[in-house]
Amino acid sequence: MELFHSHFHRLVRYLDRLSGDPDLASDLAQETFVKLHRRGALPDHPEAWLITVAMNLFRNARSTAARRRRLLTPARVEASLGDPAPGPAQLLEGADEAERVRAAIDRLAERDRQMLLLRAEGYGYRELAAALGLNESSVGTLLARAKRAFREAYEGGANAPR
Amino acid sequence: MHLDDERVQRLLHGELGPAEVETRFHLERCAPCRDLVEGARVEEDRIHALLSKVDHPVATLHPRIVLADRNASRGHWGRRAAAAVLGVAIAGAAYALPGSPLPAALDRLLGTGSGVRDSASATQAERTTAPPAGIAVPAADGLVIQLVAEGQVAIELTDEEEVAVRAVGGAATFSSDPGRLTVRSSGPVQLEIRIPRTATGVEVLAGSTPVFRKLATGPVGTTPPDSAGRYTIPLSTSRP
Repeated sequence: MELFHSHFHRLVRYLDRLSGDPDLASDLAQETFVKLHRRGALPDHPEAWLITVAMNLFRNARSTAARRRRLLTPARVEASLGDPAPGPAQLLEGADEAERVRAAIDRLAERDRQMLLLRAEGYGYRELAAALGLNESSVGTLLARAKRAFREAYEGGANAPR
Repeated sequence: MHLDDERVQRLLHGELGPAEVETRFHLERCAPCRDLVEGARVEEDRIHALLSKVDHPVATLHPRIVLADRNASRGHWGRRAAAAVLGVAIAGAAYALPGSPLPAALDRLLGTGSGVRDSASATQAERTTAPPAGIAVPAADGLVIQLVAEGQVAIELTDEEEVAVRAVGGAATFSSDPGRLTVRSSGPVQLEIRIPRTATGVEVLAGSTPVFRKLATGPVGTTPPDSAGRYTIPLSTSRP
């Protein structure tokens, strides 16, 4: 119960920022806790376990969406899924700051994106290292790089490298 | 030897461990490194502010509502969970109103409709008697309490044996590592810290700025104590 109260909102916000889809984020966070409940016993490192399960659920959901995208016609894809990364034209035509931030997040390398978003939710270096398969002693350095990459992606706008 | 990225980030995030004392000692004497840390702090604040631009409101959800659906089939999960979130979000405001019949109604609904065993009265008693969220740890020498939050903190000395930190208004998350307690809040929060009079080395940081110390020689705060001996200190995530 305590774990739920201290982590549910953090997990939802992390998944929301990761996916840009609040309904999916809420759904995946709940499913993560249901998996924890079904597990029956607390894992050795509950925070890292929750992050890892949530990340895997998100990857599965994204690959399912990608399969749907391939099966649908372009017009229906646009209508049903939208485009999470706004194109250059949208950005240049006065898209608001939230869209620029969304685009910058989407342009980051996977590891940078995960580090930035997980750290923003206050997860510790041990949890980051365990969830992302990193050496804990280099988490700070990688985090600094992720921040620089985000700043460049945000300030560089549509011209930043993917 | 100046600070590298690893040390700067670890200092910002309270991840330096025993090396924190040595690093802070270095910072007191090295202006370029102080600038480096300050620049990193400003950058982090800015990134967090930018990330919050893409946030959507998070509905309050009780774990029992999540687990009540544990036997639902995968295909129905999304719709049922979304309905639960939406229902709770809408009910949230009314639920909080004094005299609202919704708490009892919700308890009845949970008790009869979802297989939850708690009785309505037991749930009501649990809610009304539940203490504020918080954490308590032994008053070890060298304990650092870092508050990453906006609002205010009231600090008082007690005859208890443990250091206790509570959120008496608003929501906060608490985590502890050896020698350090970290309290975070994404919204305004009122915190209360109780420190034993016998503690000889407890420091409270607002972000990374020391705002209160309880040493063997006595307490020192950035604001004077009130008539009851309580130090009330404002908190800001953009504090320098």
